[in-house]
Amino acid sequence: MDRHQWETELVACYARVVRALIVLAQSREQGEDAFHDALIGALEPGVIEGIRRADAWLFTVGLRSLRKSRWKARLDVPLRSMRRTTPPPTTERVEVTELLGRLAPRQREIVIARFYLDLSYEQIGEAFGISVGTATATVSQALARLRKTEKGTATWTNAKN
Amino acid sequence: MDEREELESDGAALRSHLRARIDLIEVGDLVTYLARPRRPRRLFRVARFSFAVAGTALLLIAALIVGTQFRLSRVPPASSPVATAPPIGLSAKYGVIALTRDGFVVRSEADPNPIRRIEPTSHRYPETVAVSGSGRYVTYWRPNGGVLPDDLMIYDATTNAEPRVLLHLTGEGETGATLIWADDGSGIAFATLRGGGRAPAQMHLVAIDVRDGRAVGVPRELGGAATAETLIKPLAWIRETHTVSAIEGTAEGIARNYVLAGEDGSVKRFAVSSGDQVVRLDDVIADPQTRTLAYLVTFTCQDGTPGCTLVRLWTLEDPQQAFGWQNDPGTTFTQLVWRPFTRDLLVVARSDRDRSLTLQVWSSPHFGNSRSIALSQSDASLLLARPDGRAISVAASDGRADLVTLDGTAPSLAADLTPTGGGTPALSVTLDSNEAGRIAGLAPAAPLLSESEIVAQVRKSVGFPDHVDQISASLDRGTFPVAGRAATWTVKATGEFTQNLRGGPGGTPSPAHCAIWTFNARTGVLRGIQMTDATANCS
Repeated sequence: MDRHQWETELVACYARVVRALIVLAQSREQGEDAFHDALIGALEPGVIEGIRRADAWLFTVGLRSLRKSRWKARLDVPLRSMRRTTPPPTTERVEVTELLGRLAPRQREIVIARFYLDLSYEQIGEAFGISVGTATATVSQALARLRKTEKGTATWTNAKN
Repeated sequence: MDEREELESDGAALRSHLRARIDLIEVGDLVTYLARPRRPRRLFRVARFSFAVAGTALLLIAALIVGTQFRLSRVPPASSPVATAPPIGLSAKYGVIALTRDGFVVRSEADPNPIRRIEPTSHRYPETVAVSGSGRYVTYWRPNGGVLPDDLMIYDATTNAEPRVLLHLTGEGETGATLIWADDGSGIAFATLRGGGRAPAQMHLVAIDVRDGRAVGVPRELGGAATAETLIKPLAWIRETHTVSAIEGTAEGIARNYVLAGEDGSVKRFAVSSGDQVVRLDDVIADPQTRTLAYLVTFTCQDGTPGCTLVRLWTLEDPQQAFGWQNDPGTTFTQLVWRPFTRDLLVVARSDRDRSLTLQVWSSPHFGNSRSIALSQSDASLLLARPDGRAISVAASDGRADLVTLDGTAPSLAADLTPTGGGTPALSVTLDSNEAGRIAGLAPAAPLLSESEIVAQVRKSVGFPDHVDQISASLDRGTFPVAGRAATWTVKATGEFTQNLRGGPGGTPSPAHCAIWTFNARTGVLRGIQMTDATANCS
């Protein structure tokens, strides 16, 4: 991908990627931080040339950053404990859909990639480092789990009807 | 219908549901993510807190047992610079520079009567007077017979001898501005304003070498401000890296760019703020020992109220590595100062409720506050760090001050540092030559984290039920200058790490037995983690 293509795709897709990361982080701050990290990563020399689809790349790198940030938080805990301070008020918890809460973290990530970002199974496989079969199976299991728990909850049933 | 088609038909409802809900999340313009400041993350979880409390209790018991054994077997330490330092308290070995209407006076901490009155000076701002690292030499600008250009003067506070001319400025209508000493005391970098009386005047960065209080060689031009309306203020001159760090801003005192000027004349600029963020020139400070830049950012809080504050930290040579801490709820950061010969950043915080002030000691600034000291003053106009870094005076504009001991050897002391005849305390100097010699011999704080610091950081992060059996660290010093490879600590540990990131879809991750962390060696910020069962990778 050349720089012009990258910029065009970035403008078109960034909002969806940011939203997807916010949903997965369940925090606006962490989702936006993860997207910021992905953007910084893309600006490294020679990276853009190797990107085939901007949203898939940003989502994958952003997800990695989200996972790392959980570890960073863990590293900071003992030092923060010494401060005896309350957390800042700016971290806003984002619960967009209770439906996603019923899925395991990995299923949630792949469902968002497939049904919100519209990545193909091949692209999901490439982005997550798994086979196409595993990607399909994960989505299948996620849908099965949702079907099993949909009884008594109107959200998805209404959506289907 | 094959499996994929079936999935797609069933997923169509999910797709429309997700889009309907997720698309409601508001997202900013793309540019806001390109220059996005980091804010502290929410860290406290009840379970983790419980583990931390339990872990701390165990550690305290262990430390008590080990400490008792250690105390019984310990040999009294040999004399060290700290051991021979004078006791904390108002001391005749230290003095205060107080700004007056026409210049400044020097008084001893122990006696309010001025020992030297230096008037007139060209300016009456704290940054136009510079004190050398040992606290001995004071440089300032003197109007040359009342007309421009100015003279750069030097005064030896330990001898109280008559000030001498260090340098005559030669440009027509040239006036000196902010001054700083090189990190090793071997030179002075300063800004000058040229073309005075004719618009537009322009600021320039200049450096000279100094030996035994005398100028050596000719001044070197390091580059100018971006535009005629721009002020430039040098912050640190690092001789090892041959760079002068400066901050550039508007005539109204708003900082715009961090400037990294090479001794070879090269200049690089980096924006310090974006969006609605405001950074004042006076709120940007650099520590030449740890080679870190810290500055105070004011911005609109997420709930729309103005006045949120944040301390942002950069490494001087690689300013793209930013890190920030926001104020705690109900407080506002107001002042910053680096503590010499340590890695400490001292931050004054004001309570929004009762306006009381607290001095926060950020022992490792990239991890935020580690100690808080209540201040008796409700106004902290100036922070005067003693040259040896053992104490700081937090002074109000009327001269009343809290003398705070930072090594915990004595309680804080209320003092009045106003000299007889009036003046505003602004800087701390050393009046005793032996004391100046002692300070000159102190080891400066290292720019890179030590092995023990980084290993301790990892050990603290590994909590129950994880454990570390063996741990080792190796340092890659990286490359200089900007955009080179950052210095990195790699820490390898064997043990059991259940909270790893691996695992199949929906499955519980299995424990790993080898963990490899990489950290930025300047900031301690985590760069990556790898986990594996192959302990050979960690040997």
